[in-house]
Amino acid sequence: MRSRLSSSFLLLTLLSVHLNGQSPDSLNDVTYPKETTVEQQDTLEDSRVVLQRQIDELKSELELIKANTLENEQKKEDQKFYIYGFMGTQLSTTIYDHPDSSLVVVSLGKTPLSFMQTHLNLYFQFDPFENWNVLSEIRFLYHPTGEKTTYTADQSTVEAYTTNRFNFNGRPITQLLGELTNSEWGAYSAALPVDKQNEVAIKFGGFTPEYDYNNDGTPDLIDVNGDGKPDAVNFMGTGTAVPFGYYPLDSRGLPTTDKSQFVLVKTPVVQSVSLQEQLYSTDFIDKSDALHSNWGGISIERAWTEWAPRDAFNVRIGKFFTPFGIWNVDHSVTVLLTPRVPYLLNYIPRTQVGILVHGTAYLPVVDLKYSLYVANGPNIASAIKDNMNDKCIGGRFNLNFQSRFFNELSIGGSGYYGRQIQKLEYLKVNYSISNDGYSVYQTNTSNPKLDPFTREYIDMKEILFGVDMKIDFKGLTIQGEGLYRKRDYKIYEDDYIQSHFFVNLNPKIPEIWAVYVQPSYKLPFSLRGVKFTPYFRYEYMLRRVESAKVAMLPFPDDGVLEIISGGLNIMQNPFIVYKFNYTYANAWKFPNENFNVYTCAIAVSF
Amino acid sequence: MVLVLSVTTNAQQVCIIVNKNNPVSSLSLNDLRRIYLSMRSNWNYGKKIITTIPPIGTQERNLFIVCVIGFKPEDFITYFDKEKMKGNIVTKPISLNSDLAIQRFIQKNPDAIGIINTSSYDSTSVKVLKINGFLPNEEKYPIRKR
Repeated sequence: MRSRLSSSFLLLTLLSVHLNGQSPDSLNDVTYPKETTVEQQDTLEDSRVVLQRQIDELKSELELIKANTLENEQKKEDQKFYIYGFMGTQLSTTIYDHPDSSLVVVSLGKTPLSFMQTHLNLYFQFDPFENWNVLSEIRFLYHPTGEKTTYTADQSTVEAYTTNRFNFNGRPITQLLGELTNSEWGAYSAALPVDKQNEVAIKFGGFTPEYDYNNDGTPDLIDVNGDGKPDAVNFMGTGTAVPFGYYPLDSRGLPTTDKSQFVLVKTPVVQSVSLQEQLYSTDFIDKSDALHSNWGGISIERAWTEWAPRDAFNVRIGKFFTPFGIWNVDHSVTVLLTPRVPYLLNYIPRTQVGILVHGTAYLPVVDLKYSLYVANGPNIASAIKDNMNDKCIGGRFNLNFQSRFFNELSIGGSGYYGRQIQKLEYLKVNYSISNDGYSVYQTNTSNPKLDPFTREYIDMKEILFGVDMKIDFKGLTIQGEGLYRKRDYKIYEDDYIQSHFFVNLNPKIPEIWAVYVQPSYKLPFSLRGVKFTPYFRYEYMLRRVESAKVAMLPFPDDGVLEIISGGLNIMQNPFIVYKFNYTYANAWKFPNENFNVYTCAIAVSF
Repeated sequence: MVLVLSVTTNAQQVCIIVNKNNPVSSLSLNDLRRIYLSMRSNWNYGKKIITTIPPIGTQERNLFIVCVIGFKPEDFITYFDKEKMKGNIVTKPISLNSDLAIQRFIQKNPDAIGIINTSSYDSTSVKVLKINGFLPNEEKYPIRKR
């Protein structure tokens, strides 16, 4: 650039001389006369002075042109609103080390070679004033408007929209594809709660809420077929039918077979999805399944406003990634080295909605970073509203050593404490079931008696501790995180549930230890600018399990999970990255239940 | 002309300059690194720091990135892209095309900081910072080709 500018400068100089009536030849004459007198020398000196002045003027003009250009660039830098994002596509398959009839294959499903559009995320950044920043990031889920499905109820076809569901920590659950799964507790929704003697189905967990939009103190009519009567829905092929949402309760508020009193589930604060902690070790594949919702398939990954008056003190309000460890905050498929995220991330609350205070204190050789927050907690319902006054608290401290010899050298520690209550709100109303068992009628329409009450049936306190470190030295990067989680469960009427239901597939897991170490090395050469980084990752998890009631199925108690991954990250440029990954996993003492997952991915940021 | 070219293509040493009214007169190498990696965004007196840097490919820029940041020059841009995608609010240094342009920019912007070739320094418009306590003409000045 500078050479080009200098050439321009020379050209301008010569042009200037020419325009002033002095050809390059005459310039030569002036510069190198054969013989000169004193007068001629004076004239020559005068000419040189004039030329020098012209050169200086042209130089100034040139700098002015450059400065104006730069001012335009500066105006671009002063831009206050930015849109950018990333997207990812994968080709993946899973091969099991066991036959198709095995429990794991049956429960997880086979996963053929599949292309998947894994991400489409957009950022909106707005810097309205000095020291104020606003950032939001949305993720378009696999089907932008949810996946449309149809089902038949009472000879009528009903359209429903399903969209991505979220695990207990609010992480979008992704398509299974052989990923390891785990249901911890809750969701007693197996096809069992049927009392055939009285021909009444009880659906405990997985409630379908009914609403009183008419505000008349009675549930809105479920009348899909338009016959003016509440519809009946055949429940799980049992031959027993009740409308969803109507359940008899006994005096304790638990499901019963007493037909005299039905209850209406009044907008449960937590639907079945939040009762079930299903853990998927991917963060990138969407599954349109499970939670019947019509959200339009857009997930707000984060949305916050920040006041940043000082490096040591910043206040962020809104939805933000939980500052816990390294990977939970790192983001974007082009930034992350591997296509699979470490399994331990499933134990970390992904986001928080609340207030975060963070900052950095600069010490001579180290930056001390801190983050402290108060928020609702990890439950997805908490993004909408909390169901109790207790708030979760957490924080992270990080020492980042400043040295030009290391690209990065940091150690950190994180902590989190939260309490969650799962509860349902009921509204007792006077209903009776018809003799044919297909309809529910309100017995006192003129003066319906309403008896709202709330049942808390799961109360859980959770503590998380984490440590992390990262060294980046001359292309060699070693990153690791460790986590300990302790949960104190209290499940109301646990004995009742166990005695009335056939099997509990959801054991409690009061303690978990998890760690991963990931070394990688950016090769010191590049091919036409393309850089290669092979990597390896070892993950180890140990969990202690309390199975509330385990029957039939060989689900293990305490167990160890080991996952080994290796692959190659190819960065064509900072905006296009290719990834090739192989993962081997051995899970929880299952005999011969090993997974082999092959993945290739392309990640693009824009 | 030859003189101009030789100055712009041989960066043995760069100096760090700020506005003459900037109360800061000295920075540590680590602070300079923090400032240019957008880790530290405010001067001690509270104003936001505006960073400027010579354009990609110039020896002054490369010398600075290697000596101060510790990155390979091409990784310097990647760093900002990565931080942005993580959701961190970072500000890339403004790339200005010549030492004169950088000095003029800093003259106009009291909170700006810049990197120029030491031979281009114009003491009438800007002032040079000490780095780790040393001025560019001192032997222990750290930002120089060795």
